[in-house]
Amino acid sequence: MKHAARIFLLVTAAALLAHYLPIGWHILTATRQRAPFVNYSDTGAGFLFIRMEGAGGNTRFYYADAAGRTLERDTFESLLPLTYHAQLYKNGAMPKEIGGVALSPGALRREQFTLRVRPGQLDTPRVPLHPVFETGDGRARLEPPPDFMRITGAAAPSGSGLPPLSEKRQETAPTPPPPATQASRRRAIEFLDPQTNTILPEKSALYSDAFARARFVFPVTAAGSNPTARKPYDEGLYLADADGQTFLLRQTRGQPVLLRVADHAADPAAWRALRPRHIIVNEIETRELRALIIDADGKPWLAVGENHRLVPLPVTRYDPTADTLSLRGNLLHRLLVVQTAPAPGAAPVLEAIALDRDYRVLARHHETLPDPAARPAARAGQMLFPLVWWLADDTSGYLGFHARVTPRDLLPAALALNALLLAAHLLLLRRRKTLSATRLPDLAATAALGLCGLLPALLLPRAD
Amino acid sequence: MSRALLYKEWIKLRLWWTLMLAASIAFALFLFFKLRYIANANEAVTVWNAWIFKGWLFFRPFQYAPLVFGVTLGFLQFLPEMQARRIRLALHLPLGETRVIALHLAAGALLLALVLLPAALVFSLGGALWFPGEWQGNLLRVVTPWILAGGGAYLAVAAILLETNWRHRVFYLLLTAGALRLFLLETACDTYARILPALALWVLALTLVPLFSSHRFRKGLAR
Repeated sequence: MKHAARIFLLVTAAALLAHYLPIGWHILTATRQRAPFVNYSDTGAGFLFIRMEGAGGNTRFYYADAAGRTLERDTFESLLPLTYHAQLYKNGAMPKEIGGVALSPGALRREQFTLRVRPGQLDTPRVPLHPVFETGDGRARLEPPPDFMRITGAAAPSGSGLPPLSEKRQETAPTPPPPATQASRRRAIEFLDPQTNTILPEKSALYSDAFARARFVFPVTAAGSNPTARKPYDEGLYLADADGQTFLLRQTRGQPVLLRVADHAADPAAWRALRPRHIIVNEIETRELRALIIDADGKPWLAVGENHRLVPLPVTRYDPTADTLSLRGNLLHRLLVVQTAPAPGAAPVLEAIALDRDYRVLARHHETLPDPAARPAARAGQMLFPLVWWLADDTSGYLGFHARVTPRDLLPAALALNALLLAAHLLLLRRRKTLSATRLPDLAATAALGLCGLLPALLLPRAD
Repeated sequence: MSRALLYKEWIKLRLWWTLMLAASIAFALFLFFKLRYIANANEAVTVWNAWIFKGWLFFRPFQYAPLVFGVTLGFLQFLPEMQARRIRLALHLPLGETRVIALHLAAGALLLALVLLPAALVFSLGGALWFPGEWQGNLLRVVTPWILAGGGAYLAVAAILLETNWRHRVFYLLLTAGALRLFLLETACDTYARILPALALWVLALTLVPLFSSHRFRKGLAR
């Protein structure tokens, strides 16, 4: 027991130091570093950037073009009239049209959108209850639905439309509706009423039948909607079934409308082959953008237009589990930006792709960003702390054990430092006349973790 | 003899335990009535939206209560034992030193669990009045790290008090403070779901430390 306890204390203390010391090192040495903000000129000047230069407290932003020339702010803004239209209107410098396209404040606002996908938003805890908005109630603004949909996927009653046995009984002898927590006689779809915290049997039956009729195969493998009433309209809830088929669920005048997207799309074969893993919905006023879909291979797609045209996004590298993707649009074009996460031995990369309104590639920009791990202070940190771990990471909304080990090029230096610390540790033990076989775990901790192993080994109480 | 030892612990702690139980239930009921007020003063859909999309479970103020109860119980149980080194009497019982301390720890852990259980029941059963099963699942995964932190704090205080060397006491204090901080991160619902088993295992393994401290105490290992 005593040796097990001491090893437990050693491992815990070393692990905590490998967690906290690098955080302290980062706080002491981190400098402000920001990726350039990419724009694509509306007037034919190509890619334009807002960049940051300097370090520490002496950073400043400046404007530049793709050739690296620094631009005055006014010049920069005049090259991006669709982005800085408010300023240009104020200055009286806003053009009336560009390339034959008339510019009006209303159209500029309506056509502008931003869609951003971060890895942390894809892998994050969610309560599996969905609001289903009413799209046909004749109201000018969307109203939050009074109930929530739960998808149980339980064996649904036959699609005959007949109510289940329990509800037949209800007709003759009314009983209170089942509580929202009751699991017996479950339907594939259940609607929960927050007012009474009960299941709404009729609506649940109605929707369960709609799913059965649409031949939806449970369980749901991906779901995506924009669950807010603060949007111009409701696109609906996209659901991918166990066969990978994508469905779109809407509610019109209280009735469920469940469509297999492939049956209503311009390219049904592409939709049938698509295996969605993540579906992101963000309604914009023009209704052009239906959904952004990331398939099982991590490839991003856009569903656009009335007939759900499936457009593959032409990114050369995108890993949804680590990289950030954004799509910005305006009256003239779309700008797709992917920023990869820094990986061991690989600096982050920024890829910007300008697309026309039909999603054809106009221009590409590729840039390797400064690797935050390549700064001298960061490299010293990687040498001092051979193993670093943390719980909260940008790649997930869940806490997890994320770790980084010293990169290969720094490994000899890190091992040499550990060897030095190990020699000092051995000398110290010999001087204290406590060098024995029971000290092997302490020495192993120093050899493996360097400072994070040595400090607890010196502070730990003796076992005998 | 084990029963006698457990009875001794009960005699020692019953008054304080009753007070802690009352405090725990009172705090839980206060939070329950606060939730009742929120549910009555707002549209039910608004309250559900706050839970589903903002991650509000309405019992967050209870987060540090298990930690406080764990620390308090640890002090109340082991401080009298270490004053004038009374624990030596128990350590000389024929049960064996490890078993004696393990029985003390089992008694304390049981009493701590009984302090926290009614509060957990108030949250769970109270919440069931307004929320469905998904909320109960969220609650379980949010409250479990708090309860584990309480258990860890109790074991840490036991280890610190049983340890005789001040340098090592400070070491244990820093170590457990650093570890237990990770149990109480301000996060949304369910973010702990993937690491709960690891946290539970760590707290279970922490039981070794008070046993180690008592071993050092018995052997007179002050260094």
